[in-house]
Amino acid sequence: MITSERRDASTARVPTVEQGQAIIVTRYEEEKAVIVNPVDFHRLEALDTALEQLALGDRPEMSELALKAHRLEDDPGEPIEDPEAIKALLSA
Amino acid sequence: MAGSVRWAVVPYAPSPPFRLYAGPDHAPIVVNDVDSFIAAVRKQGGDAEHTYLVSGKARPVLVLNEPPSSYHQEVTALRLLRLSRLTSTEQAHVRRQADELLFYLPPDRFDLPEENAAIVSALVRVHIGSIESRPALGRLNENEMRVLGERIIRFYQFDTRLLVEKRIKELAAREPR
Repeated sequence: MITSERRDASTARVPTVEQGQAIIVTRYEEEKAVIVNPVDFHRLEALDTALEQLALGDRPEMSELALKAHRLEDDPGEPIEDPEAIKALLSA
Repeated sequence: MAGSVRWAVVPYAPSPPFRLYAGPDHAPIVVNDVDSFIAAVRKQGGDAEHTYLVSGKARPVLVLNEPPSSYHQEVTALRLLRLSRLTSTEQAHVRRQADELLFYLPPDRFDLPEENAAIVSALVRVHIGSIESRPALGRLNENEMRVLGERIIRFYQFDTRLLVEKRIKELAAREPR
């Protein structure tokens, strides 16, 4: 996620950037910052948020009915451990 | 195998008290506390294996994927809920696909002893050697598998951001028609 910080224009000398353009500020050939038009920035920010929501959608609610399904189907019942009963089952 | 309903032997997840098999002449040894047991195993180097007596059940499951390779023969599956165990109001709710965590399996397409729904939040691992080799009892179509996959991803909160980004980049890189 992109976090943003607001600064007054008088505290930094930033050129005007046209929509659709980006100015990459470098120092010793390394990219240090990118200046973009506010419209582009907000579009990117919105895309980032949309992507986050798409990739990590809301978790479905664990409903009472789903919990009941787990109670009914997850817990072992009474196991058959009588050898005669097991033999009878296998020979049926 | 992906998307098919099949009978399989499915173990329940082990939980304390654990019963450790101690040979034919000895009753199983009961371990009540997981922390002290793991601490004892780790003290011995952490590599000790035991035979745990775990409950299991032959039951139909919905298989979610193909076995990854001839060496790795485990698949993931969902446990099923028998609708006969619900009230008639709850059954109607499931039939309407109104609960995201209960995926209804219509009886005219699935040859099960009774009406069932797959429990999205009941993921289990099954070895394919434990799955009945007879033909599937029914199968979900591609679209149903997509819907089910999306629900599983959302329930387990798998972060698919990188996959989605990759797909968006691929779409953006496509030549316009």
